[in-house]
Amino acid sequence: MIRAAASARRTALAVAFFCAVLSGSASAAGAAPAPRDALQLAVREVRALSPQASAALAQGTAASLWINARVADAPPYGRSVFTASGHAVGDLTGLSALGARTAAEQILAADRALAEDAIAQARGASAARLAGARQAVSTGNRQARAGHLSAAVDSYAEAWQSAYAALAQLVAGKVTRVPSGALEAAAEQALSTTRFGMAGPVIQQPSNPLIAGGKPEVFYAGSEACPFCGVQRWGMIIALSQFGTFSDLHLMQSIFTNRPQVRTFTFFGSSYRSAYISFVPVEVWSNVPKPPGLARLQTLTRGESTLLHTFDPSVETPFIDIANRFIVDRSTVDPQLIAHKSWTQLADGLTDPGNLSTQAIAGEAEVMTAEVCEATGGSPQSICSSAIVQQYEAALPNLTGRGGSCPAPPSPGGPGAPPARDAAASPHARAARPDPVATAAHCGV
Amino acid sequence: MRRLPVVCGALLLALALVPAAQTAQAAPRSDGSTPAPAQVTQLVTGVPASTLNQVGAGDSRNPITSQDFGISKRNGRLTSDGKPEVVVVALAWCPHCAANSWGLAVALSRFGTLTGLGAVNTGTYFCKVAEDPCNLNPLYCFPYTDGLSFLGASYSSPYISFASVVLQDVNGRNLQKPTRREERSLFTVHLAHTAPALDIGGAWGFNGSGYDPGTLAHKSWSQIAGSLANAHNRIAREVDGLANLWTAAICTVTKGRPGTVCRSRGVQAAAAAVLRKLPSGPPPGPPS
Repeated sequence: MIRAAASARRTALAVAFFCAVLSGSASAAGAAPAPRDALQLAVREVRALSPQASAALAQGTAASLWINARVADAPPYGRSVFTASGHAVGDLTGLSALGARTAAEQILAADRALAEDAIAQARGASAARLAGARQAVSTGNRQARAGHLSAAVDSYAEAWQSAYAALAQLVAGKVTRVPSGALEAAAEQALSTTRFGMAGPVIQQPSNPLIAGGKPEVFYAGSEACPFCGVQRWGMIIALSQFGTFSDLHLMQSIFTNRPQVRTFTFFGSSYRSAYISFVPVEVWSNVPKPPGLARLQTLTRGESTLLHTFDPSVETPFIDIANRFIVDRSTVDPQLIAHKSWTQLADGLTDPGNLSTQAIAGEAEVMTAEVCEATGGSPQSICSSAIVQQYEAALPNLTGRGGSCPAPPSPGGPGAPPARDAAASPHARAARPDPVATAAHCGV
Repeated sequence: MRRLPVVCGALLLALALVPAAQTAQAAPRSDGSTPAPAQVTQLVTGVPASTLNQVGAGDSRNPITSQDFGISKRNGRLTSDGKPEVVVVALAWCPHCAANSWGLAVALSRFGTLTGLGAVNTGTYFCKVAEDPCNLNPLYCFPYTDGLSFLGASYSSPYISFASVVLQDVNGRNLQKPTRREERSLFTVHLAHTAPALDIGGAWGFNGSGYDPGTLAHKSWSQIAGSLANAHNRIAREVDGLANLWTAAICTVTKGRPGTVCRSRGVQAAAAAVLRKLPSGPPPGPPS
């Protein structure tokens, strides 16, 4: 009897919470805080009321889960924001204090805003997928009105995830089918200037080719967290899409602690088919911090590890081996060139040859296309005989720019040459970044 | 001086291994350290001469050949109170500094009396700053290494003066700076902008860790201090070997005083293994 009464009271409170959410969001829609800010406000609100809810929310607002205050990391990592919200509203449901009510409002509003923003970002994507996402938001609203707050959070999470799936499909579609005219025009611009500082590959003698499945192999070792891999993947996907077909490409962003954070794809979970080449991608690290480093995603085979250490003892990424003919040990261009842009901004920009990000990505793409064409002996002709590819093939030995890559590992305790200086002195000078994290790592006085 | 990047050794220590019980009773000092337990101080400052003689150069890194430990010989002169001055520059969060702190405390104790030592645990700040998301090697960052802090310690010696500069606390907040005089000397011995750094009277500069901080993994201050008197112990062979090397370097600026220390077998062995092997001509490794 008592339990039933308490349960009814909780439900009534929850209903009241959500009514307030709806009326509150309607009246103050223009001034609604960004989702992460709203969750941080909720953390403060519930600190004294429910340490468990506060702790859960604090995990959900961790900087590693957010691109900015409005956008959480892409799935699967950003899903942790909703998981934290679910735990928090679960802990708050039984509390009657005004602070608990306010916090629950903030949490639900934040989660709904994340889902709605993802749907808005995916505008133009598959109507069926977007309809499913909108349906999930409606379901969440109904559940919240009925007092099922945890279920409502789950529905918003589902909506957000569906919207991202639609967005990934939309963006991947644009990147894998860039109009050849726009790509060529942008690549020509990139080649005609030194402003991009494009780095060329290390060219190997054509012996002992890397072959897989009877085709020249393109081997890639990278890290989701690495911004240099992030910028390189855009060009790689465009280039490789000319020789085959990608499927299941997922959106990803490099880690927030290593600037610039760039929005990109991950090769983890994707597949690729081609009549001309074999593509073997390995994403070694995720972008999820797991002290003392990052969570591991994939492990190199012994053969892959040998390959990597043979050609790049520093094991810095991105590392790309194109049939043992070309070794790429840095990004072709600096990731700054695509920083601060959303996936849709970058993808939509690919039809505009005057766009600087597009020129940088097109340059990367044509460098790789030229390398692959060399490895395939000019197949397919429709791609490899084009004027722009020929131009890039001829230019490969002359691309002496710095491109981009991480500086040498930090050396606190070591005899202390600043990695930036070491890098500049090396024959394959890498672009060192004035990065406060890296500076601190050198034990700077 | 040799200037090569260090490769940190891997240690993934569990949080549970932090010896919290030893720190709980004492108020933290501004670098994050707590006063070292009396027993720890006693063991570190009282390593038997017989052990040090037995260890000799030990298993510490040889700065002539090591990529992670450097030496510089100069003709500078750093003094304080009319005596050659030894200056150590450290970061409270740096496990390499923690590793060196043990050897330095042993060496200094041979020339005078060291009191007020602190016990510091380096925590995880270094792991954060050392992270390179583009490098495929696992991150080696020696979390939770136990070391000694000289912040607020007192040292009295008829032979040398001693100064400690703790640049940052365990959380990376700025704390101290070298004086202009010290900085000039550190620059002379090629130690500007690096830690850990040790300037011995403007005549010798050492940078980098004298042994792998991984040796101290899972070891508490008491365990480390308690191992130093055993010449066969792995920690003792590294810490005491490093102490003998630094003692030998200090002896060159004290003009061989005190004779009982400077002529001792262990110190002579360390001098023979390192100091006497350095080229006598122009000092190695001009700064670039």
